[in-house]
Amino acid sequence: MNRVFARQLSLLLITLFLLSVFTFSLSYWFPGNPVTNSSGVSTEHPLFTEIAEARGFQSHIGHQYIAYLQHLFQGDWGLSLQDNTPIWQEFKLRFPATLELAILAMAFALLFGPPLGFIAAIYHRRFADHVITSFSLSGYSIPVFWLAQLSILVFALVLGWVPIAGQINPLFDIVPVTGSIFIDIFLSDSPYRAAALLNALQHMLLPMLVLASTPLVLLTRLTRSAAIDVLKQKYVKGAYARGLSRSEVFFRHVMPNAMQPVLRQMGSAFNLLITNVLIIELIFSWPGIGSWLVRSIFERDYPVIQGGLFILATLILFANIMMNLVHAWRYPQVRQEFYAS
Amino acid sequence: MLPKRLNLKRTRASELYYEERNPSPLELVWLNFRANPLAMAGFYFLGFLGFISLFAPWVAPFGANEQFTEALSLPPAWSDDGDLRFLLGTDMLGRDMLSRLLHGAQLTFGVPLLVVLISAVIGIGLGVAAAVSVGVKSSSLKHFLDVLFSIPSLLLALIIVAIIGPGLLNAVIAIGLVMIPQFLHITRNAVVDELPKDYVVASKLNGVSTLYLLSAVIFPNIVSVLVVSFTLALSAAILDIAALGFLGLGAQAPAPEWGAMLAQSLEVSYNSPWVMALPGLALFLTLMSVNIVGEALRSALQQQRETT
Amino acid sequence: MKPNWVNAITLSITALFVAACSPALPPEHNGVLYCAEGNPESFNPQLVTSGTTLDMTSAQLFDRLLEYNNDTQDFEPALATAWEVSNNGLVYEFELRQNVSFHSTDYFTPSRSFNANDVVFSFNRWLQPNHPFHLVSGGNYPFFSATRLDRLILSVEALNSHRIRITLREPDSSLLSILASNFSVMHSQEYAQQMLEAGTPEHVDQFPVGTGPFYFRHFRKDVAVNYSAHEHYWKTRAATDNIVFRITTNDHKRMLMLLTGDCDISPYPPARDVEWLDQRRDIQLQRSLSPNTAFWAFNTERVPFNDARVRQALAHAINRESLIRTVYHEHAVIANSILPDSSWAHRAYPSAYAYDPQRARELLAEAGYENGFSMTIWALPVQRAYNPNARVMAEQMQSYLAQVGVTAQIISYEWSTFRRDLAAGQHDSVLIGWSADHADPDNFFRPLLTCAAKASGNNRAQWCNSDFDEAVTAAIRSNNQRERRAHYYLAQQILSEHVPIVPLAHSIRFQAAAADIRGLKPPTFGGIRLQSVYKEPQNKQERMP
Repeated sequence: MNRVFARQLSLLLITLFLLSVFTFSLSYWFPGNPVTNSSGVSTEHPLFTEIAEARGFQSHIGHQYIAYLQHLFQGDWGLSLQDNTPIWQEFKLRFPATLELAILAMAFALLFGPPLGFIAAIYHRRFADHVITSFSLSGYSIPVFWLAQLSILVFALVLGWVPIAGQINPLFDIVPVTGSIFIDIFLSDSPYRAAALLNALQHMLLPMLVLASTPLVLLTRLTRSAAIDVLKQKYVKGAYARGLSRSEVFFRHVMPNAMQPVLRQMGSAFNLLITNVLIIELIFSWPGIGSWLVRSIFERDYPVIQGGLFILATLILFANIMMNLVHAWRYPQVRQEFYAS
Repeated sequence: MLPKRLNLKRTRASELYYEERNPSPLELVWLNFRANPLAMAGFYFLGFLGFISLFAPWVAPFGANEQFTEALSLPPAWSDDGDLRFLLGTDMLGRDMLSRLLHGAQLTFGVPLLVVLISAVIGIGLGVAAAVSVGVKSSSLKHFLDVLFSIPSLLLALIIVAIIGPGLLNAVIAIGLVMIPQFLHITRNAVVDELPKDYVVASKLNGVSTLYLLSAVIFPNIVSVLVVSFTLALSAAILDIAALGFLGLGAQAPAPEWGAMLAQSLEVSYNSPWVMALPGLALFLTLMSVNIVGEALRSALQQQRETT
Repeated sequence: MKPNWVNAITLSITALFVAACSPALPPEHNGVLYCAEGNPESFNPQLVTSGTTLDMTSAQLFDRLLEYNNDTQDFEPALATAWEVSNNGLVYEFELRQNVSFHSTDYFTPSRSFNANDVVFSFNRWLQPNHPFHLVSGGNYPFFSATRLDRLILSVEALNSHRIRITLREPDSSLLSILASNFSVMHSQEYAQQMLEAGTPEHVDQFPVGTGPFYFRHFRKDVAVNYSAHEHYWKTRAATDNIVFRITTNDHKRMLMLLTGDCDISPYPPARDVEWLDQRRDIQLQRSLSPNTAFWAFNTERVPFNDARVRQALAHAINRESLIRTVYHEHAVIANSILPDSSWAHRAYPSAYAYDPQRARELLAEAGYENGFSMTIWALPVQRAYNPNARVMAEQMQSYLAQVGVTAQIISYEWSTFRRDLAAGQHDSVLIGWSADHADPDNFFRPLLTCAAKASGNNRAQWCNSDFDEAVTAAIRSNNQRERRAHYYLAQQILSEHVPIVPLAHSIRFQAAAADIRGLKPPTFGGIRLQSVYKEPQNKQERMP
């Protein structure tokens, strides 16, 4: 396990290194002055030469890269070309908002995806299976921007169940301290925290469900096919032959074995989710990294693009390595269980 | 079991000439695939889309940007206020929705298909070359690339668009640039996996040329993997190009690209919902067909592998 | 393992939705949600031109010396209670209101009430290039430089603590209109002094202090601006405790938010939806004839638009009636001059802009472009009262232009980048417009099309014509309406001959609000006033279907 850990960690470090080289070189690839592209300070600014110097632009490219890393780790991500505000300040408030939405959606997908897959596998080629399969197939093919818009029309406009924009009704006047609305409500001294929490939940519901939909159906499909494979195995028959009850067979043999290939694909589910975050945040005016990145591309706000890309890619790489680790950690144990019975 | 039975039926005519005929792996897959009616439906739909992509200008009743100022925001023909001339209604500029959808197939299905084909050819070529020439069998490299390719294609495409600017052509270039390394990676892995197998070693010992080894020996055995990744890539490319169009970074108005149409239709989503529903539905059906076909191919491949 | 699972899951999802059904804001959070179209560029109206920023700042946070009453067509006292003009039209004296208190906020507690020092500070900041605040936040005062007020005013002095004198270099008949406009707001000199001493003078424009009906609480970019009622407002205290401007750039998104109750007020509802909105019982719709003009400006510095024949040809190439039908859905009248026909100085030149593709082709051939050329049309990416959907308009113009052999490419991207590039003159032509800031006809000429406006980056046609400048300057020197009218007629004639811009439409401005919003008045001269607006508490439950 230690070897696996070391190997995954080095993998993470190498990919992060490459990513940082890539985001660094973006300053050169974007149109315009590389100093402006990385710092957000225009060439006419009185402090331009000093800033260029601080970022190593008077020196060779290696030096520039080191300076880039230094700035990155110091939280000096430059200024937005759009309004000259520090990117790091904005990022600090937006990242937790994205993370909150993504984690809840992922949790929702994990909570409902695999169980649906198991149900489909257990009732293989029967009614429940057909319903779940067609639901997951269509859910997998539905463009998320269309789904979001349809759900806004149905649940917000026609039925009037949920609000459609932002994290909370701004009249609650919750001061954004962390950016995560639930934590901010908890930290605020508002006498109406319970009402604010309910309001925030209402705002969260629709984006979270739409965001969860794609990873959810992916997990359902993966679990279903994995469980069908496992159910065909001889050890399952053997378990029944030894007189184990259906639930015992399911929980002790089928489920752990079927979850193994599902776990391997968990990273893909998360990647899908992050792809969709870009679009969902825009549609639901969620003040997170995704909508920020997409808008900065419109606005050609290069320092923001660099920061947004770096953080989203880091999040994905980190999540994938974590999933690999969890998988590697679970794998021998699953095998042990298998041998033990 | 299933494919063999089918196989017998299909080859009855040729029994005159052959005692027994071994269908190629690809033929086996096709026979398996045919047995799945849903998959065939998806397949025919894709065929239809391919036809439309080529012949939309002749099939569509009107031009994509032809405006009928006397018929703004008409609902589809079957509703009370509809007009039979405009089967699926018109949008807020009085453009025929059906014609726009048909023309849009070219951009939303035809263009991604072309992109994926081109990047597949380039990627597979490079992948084979990489597998043969470098020959590094290091699994570290594979794992490393696996992690690197976990960055979503849309995110990368967005960055490329940020560098080269918005527009359909640039979106297409971005998607192509993202797809090529993925094909390369998949091909290289597949070839590297095959190289140590007995049949390859046997051919090598027979002294065949590298070209023959790759094209006649290995290729038929990895084509199935490639076909599946092709459908996956196609589905991703369609979705990404539509998503870029939706975000206003891909096809630009007034191009009838479905994603861009969807983005524009949001303006009228609350009072003429069909303008929003139709491009989304078209996109949905297309993606569903690609996914169903891909899925059926995969399971057919699996069956073929299990039966042979 | 049981099919009941499915039921259980469905049930729990339903339960979640049911729980989400009860909208109840605590009474302390009583307030009005206003859907704004974008981030405010600054919180100081002196620094901006965009209507969005003005709507969010000027009338809510600040007061002016006097106000223009649209109904009586006359000026009314505000922070100045009385004023006198000398016979030669060069000296204006204003008596100031007593006991007007500035906002007390987290960042500033006033120690005195409003007096002449504040007026002098508010003027001198943009008037005197060596004023310590002149260069703060960029040092551009586009409205004042475009109206040439910075050159016009010789001095502003305090005669005593509540009396000031403004001396002009030459008579200008539009001064009172300008002083009543949304840009001429009064700041606190005391606050500015404190910020200067603290070394953060730019805070004056980011954390504003004024005398207006609301005070600034906080602003989160892309999310919301929060204001609360100014308890010691010199007029009636605001009817609601809180105002929130929710920042939403998409017009359809704002419509959806209005319909779902995420917003109470939505300015500029899309024209295509106006009729539909009018029929809904949960929405009230207000309309006003605030003077505005949508126009198509050519960059006259670029080839081929430096040739007047090309500009005339393009004006004849488009069918404006059809544009108005599609874009405004009949909620506009065709414009035959830059000046709306409600103005006393208006004169129409319909033949100069009539739809005549044959004539257009002839003119193009005359100018040597019989084979056409390609050009860009920059379409305003946000909607404005004067043009609710410039992109759709541009698409339609594309097909008209194609008929005379001109290939047009539409450019439309994010608003602030768009504005920046536009001011830099990177466009061939642009679909834009103007909503009047004040009542004087001068407002449609000098800020838009003079050489001075070109220098300040507001002349979208990059056009500079000495005859035109002479005419509009002569008009402003005179206090005699008949004389002024003659000058304005000439100016409009010059425009119709040179066609730096093609006037397209004068639109009706709409504003939509939820049915339980009370006290909302139709907007006048660009600004919306929210001090009398409040939400009827009883109706809250009924709005949810």
